[in-house]
Amino acid sequence: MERPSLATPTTVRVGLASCGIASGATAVYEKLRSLLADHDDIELQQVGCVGLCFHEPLVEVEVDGTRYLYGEVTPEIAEAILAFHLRGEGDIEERLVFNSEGDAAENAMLAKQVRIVLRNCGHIDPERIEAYVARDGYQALTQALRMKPEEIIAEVEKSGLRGRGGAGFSTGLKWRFTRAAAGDVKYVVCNADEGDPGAFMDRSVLEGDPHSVLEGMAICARSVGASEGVIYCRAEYPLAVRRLEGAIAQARQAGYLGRDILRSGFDFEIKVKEGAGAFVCGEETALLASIEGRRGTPRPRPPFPAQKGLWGKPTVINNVETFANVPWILVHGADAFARHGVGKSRGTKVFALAGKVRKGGLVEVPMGMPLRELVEGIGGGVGEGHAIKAVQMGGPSGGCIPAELLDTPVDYESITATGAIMGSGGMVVLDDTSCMVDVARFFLHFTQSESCGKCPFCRIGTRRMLEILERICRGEGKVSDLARLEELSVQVKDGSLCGLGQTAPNPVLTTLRYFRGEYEAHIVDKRCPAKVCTTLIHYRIDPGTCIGCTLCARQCPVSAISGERRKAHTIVDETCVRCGQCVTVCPVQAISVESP
Amino acid sequence: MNRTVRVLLDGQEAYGRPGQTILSLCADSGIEVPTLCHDPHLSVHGGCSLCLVEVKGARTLVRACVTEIAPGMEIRTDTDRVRLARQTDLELLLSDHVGDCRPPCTLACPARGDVQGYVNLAAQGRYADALAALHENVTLPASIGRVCPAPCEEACRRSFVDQEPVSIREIKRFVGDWCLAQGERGPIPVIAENGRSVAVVGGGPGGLSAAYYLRRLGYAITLYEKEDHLGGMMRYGIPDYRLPPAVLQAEIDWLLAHGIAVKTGTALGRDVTLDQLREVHDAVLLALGCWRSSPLRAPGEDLPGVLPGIGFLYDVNTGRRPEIGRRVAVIGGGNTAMDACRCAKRLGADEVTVVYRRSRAEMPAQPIEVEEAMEEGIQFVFLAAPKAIEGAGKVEHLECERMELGAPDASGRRQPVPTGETFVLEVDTVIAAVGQAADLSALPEQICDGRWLRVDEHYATPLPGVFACGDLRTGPDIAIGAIGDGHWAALSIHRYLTTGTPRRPYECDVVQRDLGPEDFADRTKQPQEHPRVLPAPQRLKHPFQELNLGLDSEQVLRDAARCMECGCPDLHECKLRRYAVEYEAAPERYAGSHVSRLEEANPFYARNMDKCILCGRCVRTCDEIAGFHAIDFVRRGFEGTIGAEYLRPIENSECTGCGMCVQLCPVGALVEVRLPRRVHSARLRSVATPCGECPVGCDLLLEVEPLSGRIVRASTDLDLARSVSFGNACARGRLSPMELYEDRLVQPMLRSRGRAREAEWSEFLDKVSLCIREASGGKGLAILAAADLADEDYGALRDLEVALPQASVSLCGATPVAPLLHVLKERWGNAGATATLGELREADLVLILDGRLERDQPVLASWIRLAMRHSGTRVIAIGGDPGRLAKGGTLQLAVTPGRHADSLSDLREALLGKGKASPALGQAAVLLNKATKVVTLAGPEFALNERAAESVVSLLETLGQKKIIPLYSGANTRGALASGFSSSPVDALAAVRIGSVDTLLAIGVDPLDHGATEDDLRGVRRFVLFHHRKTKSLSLAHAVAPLPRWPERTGTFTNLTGTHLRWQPVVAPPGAAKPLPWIVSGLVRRTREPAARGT
Repeated sequence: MERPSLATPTTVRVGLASCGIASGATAVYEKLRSLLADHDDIELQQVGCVGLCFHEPLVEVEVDGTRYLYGEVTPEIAEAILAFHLRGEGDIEERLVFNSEGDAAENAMLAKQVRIVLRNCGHIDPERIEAYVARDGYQALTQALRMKPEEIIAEVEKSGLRGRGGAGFSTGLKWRFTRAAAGDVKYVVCNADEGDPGAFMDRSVLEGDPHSVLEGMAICARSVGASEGVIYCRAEYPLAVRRLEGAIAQARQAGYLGRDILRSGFDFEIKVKEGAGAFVCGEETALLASIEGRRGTPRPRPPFPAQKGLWGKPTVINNVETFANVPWILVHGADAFARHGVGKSRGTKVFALAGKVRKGGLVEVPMGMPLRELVEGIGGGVGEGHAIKAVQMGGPSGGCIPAELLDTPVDYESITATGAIMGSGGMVVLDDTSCMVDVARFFLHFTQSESCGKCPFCRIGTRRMLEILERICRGEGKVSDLARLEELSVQVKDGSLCGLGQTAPNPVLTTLRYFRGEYEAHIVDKRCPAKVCTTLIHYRIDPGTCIGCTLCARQCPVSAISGERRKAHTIVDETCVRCGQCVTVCPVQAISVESP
Repeated sequence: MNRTVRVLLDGQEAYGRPGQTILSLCADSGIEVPTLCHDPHLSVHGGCSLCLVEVKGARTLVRACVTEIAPGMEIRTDTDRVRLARQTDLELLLSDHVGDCRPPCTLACPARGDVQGYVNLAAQGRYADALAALHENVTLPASIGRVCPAPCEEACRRSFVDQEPVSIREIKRFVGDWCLAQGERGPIPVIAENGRSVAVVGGGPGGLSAAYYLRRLGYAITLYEKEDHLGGMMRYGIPDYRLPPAVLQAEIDWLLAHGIAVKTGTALGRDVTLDQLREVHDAVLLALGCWRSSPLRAPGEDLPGVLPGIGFLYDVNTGRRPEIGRRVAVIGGGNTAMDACRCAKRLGADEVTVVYRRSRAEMPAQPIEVEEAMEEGIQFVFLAAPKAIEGAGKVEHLECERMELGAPDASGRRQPVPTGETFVLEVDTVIAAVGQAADLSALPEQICDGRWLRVDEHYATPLPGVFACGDLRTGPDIAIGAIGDGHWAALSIHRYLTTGTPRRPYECDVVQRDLGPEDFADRTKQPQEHPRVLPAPQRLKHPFQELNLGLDSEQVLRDAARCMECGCPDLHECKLRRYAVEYEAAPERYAGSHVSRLEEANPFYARNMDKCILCGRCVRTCDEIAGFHAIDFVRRGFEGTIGAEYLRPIENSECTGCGMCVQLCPVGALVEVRLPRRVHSARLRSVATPCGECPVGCDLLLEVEPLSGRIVRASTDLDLARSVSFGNACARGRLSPMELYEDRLVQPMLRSRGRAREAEWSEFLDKVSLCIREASGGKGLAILAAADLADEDYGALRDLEVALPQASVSLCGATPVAPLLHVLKERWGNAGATATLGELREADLVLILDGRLERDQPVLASWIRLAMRHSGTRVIAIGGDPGRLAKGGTLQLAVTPGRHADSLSDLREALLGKGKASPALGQAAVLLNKATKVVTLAGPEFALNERAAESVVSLLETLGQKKIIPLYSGANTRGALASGFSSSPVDALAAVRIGSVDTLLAIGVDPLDHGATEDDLRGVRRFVLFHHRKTKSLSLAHAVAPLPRWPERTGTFTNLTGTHLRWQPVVAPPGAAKPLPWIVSGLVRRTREPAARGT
């Protein structure tokens, strides 16, 4: 790699969102801080998640406006990066994952994205309001304060922005209803109770760009006539809570929050309320009950929060991503926003790409992008020798879209037509090693244990469904179970009180719809085609291949493997717990998993 | 508001009010939408999901309880989608609702006899009531009690304790026999004719039952019977030594007495055709039975001497004596075979051998029948099947083949397999009792399908209006099976004739299957009672005399009391079950796991969270009506339950046991503690009467179980306009009416020479009038009276005072309140409360002076707590015990004994800003000055003397808030004081002690509870006790008279705030108890005219 420029780097950034910290970015940051202690001309910044989570820890070096992003950085490599940029020593090209001017491994991945919500994530220091302001932060609020509330709402409506929490209700319309609702006291609530397994969109925004949410809320408050806001954030996001609270303090000090904001006469305060970890509190009425200190269970709607919300007052509830869109819309205009997307789905959507996909991480794409483009083009598809089987969208409320429907465009209506939902942005890619019955069981287990228990359809119905799925996974299913599952699914969807129950059967229904054969294999043939369901699989050592190294026997936690050194080993099927550790350690791939 | 919102409700135009919910509009329109969690007196919950309805345009079904109507809304409450959702919802709830609906005995009985009901009535010696309970499902109980194999007993869980069940069959027989002997077979009701008629063909148990139950519904019934007598197989198939025909006939006669026309000697096909019957009647029920013996399918079976089993029994039972010879073989192992072999023996055969192709264990006959047959000398050859019957012109020998047992067949019994080995029995007669079938020859082809009758599960045949039941439908079965079949067929016919569609009643029961001996380890063992049975020699000496003599009354009382009452106490009140039946929910459809939850009991009620459906009514009731919020949801999801905070036991919670939650619980999760030997009945009678336990006088609804005549629950009417207690009640009010049955005095008693004996009223009155006349002329008479008697009682006591110059009445149990009432009268012109209970509920500050509300007037505590929690009402408690009111910001001020008046003077100073107030007093003064609606409750310490009373009145005058309710106990203290009686028992007791009186009358009180000692009572010459219960001093009394308690009487009283209330008699007092005015007038009359009453 040629030395990019003779100029000294101006800024070095370290991704210090949860994903980075979990990968060891803190040590990298500390190392760089000590190395740069003498370089007053180089600014060291902590930034949020840029989305390439699979490359964390990430370090970005900016030289003359050109950005070089390095992945899998350790403190030693950090030193090497500095050595390269400051002194031209060494070669670190293999660590370069993105180059704003040239070409690098992930340039294509980032190029396919459109970053509205994540516009600042990974680029600014989330703990410094100046960084946000420097990138047009609070310009939208300043603008909003000069607009009539109706004009703000009209602009948001015109943009076509729909709630990014999952249901996809028109944001502008929701604001309009709340503004129209009678009452002096109104509230703006931000739902930051992101709870879907595998979803981390909101967390990344809160950790990487908290001010964008605050600004969105303030604009909303101004438009609906609220003077108090609450961010309901799950306590499992301590970094997000800390950064939010820091951001609120800074914004208040800078006059963007508090009394008489920017001398406009407009007052708006925001408090952070930490949730105690109940998934159902992501449901808006349960969330409101929880804020009020009551048991977090949903209540029937109507009345909708827009009429009777927090403390019985008209309340706007939007999620993090929705609010983060708002400042951008005001600054760039509704038309600019609406230019992205298709049909009734405008703008972009952030997805947490996970599962068997190669490049898991956070991506933001324009609505309407074909699913295939997202999963294969951006996500890089699945591992070699494997094929995509399905994409699970929308978390436990969502469904599985089979590989043959990968050309479905990602927009609300098209996704719903497949039986899945857009959801808040969880996207789990499944390949041929994923058992679809097990996937359904996994998601149903999640919703079942997160059911608040208020209505029988959800409390008992999902439990009975889960019991049937567990039976099928154990090979004890009956053919009639499938009809029973379908019957119950329909009833639970139709009769449950809140979204949790109404959507809980989706993973079951979509897998039954697209992968019925896999269910039947479990029931009729007592076979798990993906070789996942433990009671239906057996581990076998091929005596011809086994070299008798004893590694597997030593690794086995239940001593199910025996055999003499240098002779073929065997597995006692009754003792084996199907943990799969033997397969992992076997140096000659002599151990195979079989399902009859 | 006007009905301006137009909607389409089930296709009909309906107009509702703006803001009205769909549920409410449906109620207005007469459409029942089921709900378990909704109650109009509680906030909306929306959990149970049963009120789901379809609204056009809505994505999912909507909850009618919360969804407001909107103009143009199209609502459907009756679609398949709605019904299916409700059914599924109920099935899911039932799958997690663990317990028993009906007890296992009832479910094992094919007729669903109310075993728990009649057994427990029998346990109380109420045999006539037990018979009435039996007749609800079991006709011919004395006969069934003799012949039934009693599947109920097989299911009885008493076997888990004693290895033996309750003797249900013998109890049933005893009840039937006792009632026959006493002539107490129950009144024949006047039947309202409905103008339709039904023909019942066949007068066996099935036909008879169907006729009876149809007749009760008002149908004109004609019973067609081919034989000369009714009774069918019970008469012609069962020998007299098991069922005497007289017993059967007496029971049949009682059924016929309901107005059932009978045509005996009329056979279908011979004397009358089905078409003719169909023409004359609105429906025809065929109950022809199974009268054809199945063939042996062995060569030689046509030889003379081979008899069909049922034909043989028919001959025996009609008095013919079939020729059978000396040696008889009976083929078969069922009850017919047993009856046949024992009859053959009784007809004189020397050698009777039963040949059965399996072993004894597989025999379908009742074990007792086999055992008794063996006792009577009958031989059994097991594992043998007839191969051929041989003989020249008549039976001479029977060749049999040895069998062995193979694999189980469809019936679960092991199949006999031929071995090839044969043997020969020398016999004169072979009786083939190997099965029976129906004779279908008289029936048209449309309803016969080859060998089988075509009949569906609702008893209907393909011919409209033609039904079939009993053995004809089921094949040969036990008699009780036919009785049940006849009953359900009758109900299906009723449905057909009223709605056009035959339908048998849908049954839905949750059953607890996982119980075993370990679940009953705490029960005391009590062995089963066995009937006396004649020994075998005596049986054969009197061959057709009944051999089982049954249980005696003592045995029945003991054995019936062994019943463990497995069924749900809320069987008939349970809304879940009611809806489950209506929507034909199957509890097993979604069977699955259950998280075992808490079961606990406190003195007031039992909580069985295994039956809880999490509707949250109790939580809301406790919060919104009772005011305590003692319970809430705990945990979540499938593991969710309801309990006190931190799941601590309910008695350590805020719960006062007021029972409002029990009243509103829609299932059997919360039930009142009840006395044992409870009886279930679907028809509770409810009577409104004010509570007499404290001076609040809450409006109660006492529910009486008609068969037992007992009060089984106390509830309230939350919709009662102008209710004294606004629908609330307390633990005492709910519990005491159910305790009426413990330790009651039932008869006057007199003691002479140290021995107490029961007496008639006339003797009692004579003796007592004599002694009070003596006392009145002598040293004097003291009368201690309770403060919870009726005005009429006090009037009578005043009459007594007038009649007896030396007598004086003192009140017990009335806390001294007279001085306060006096001061109030003097200062404010009103001797009583100046506030209403309504004003107390609306107060923004309640000043409680020496109150012990939870003990003395619990409902007041409930209202104040409610106001504290929901309206921010403040409470200042000076002295007394605030109990649970101590929570929630109550300001408590302790008072040094004797300084009660001073404490109020200090507070008054503080109010005026004078003096040096303590911080607490200062705070109280601030609160009082700020409050706008203060109500004061003043208890004994502030009422017992004029100084204290003056301090109260002065304080309130200074405050300018003259709303006060004096507190006292004793429901009718006001009435008693108005009669001018002394409010302290001290004087009367002092007089007793110094010997200035020698006669003491205690009325409704036990002097030992009010300061008297046993020596005091021994010291008086005469001590007469009038009471409803057996109290402590009973053994010291010279004469005792039973009084009714308030739910058993009429009478007026005045409550805490001066409202006049009237008790209504809810149940009859026990035994000879008489109201006090009756007793007193008898005494007064006798004291006035001693000469006339002389010896």
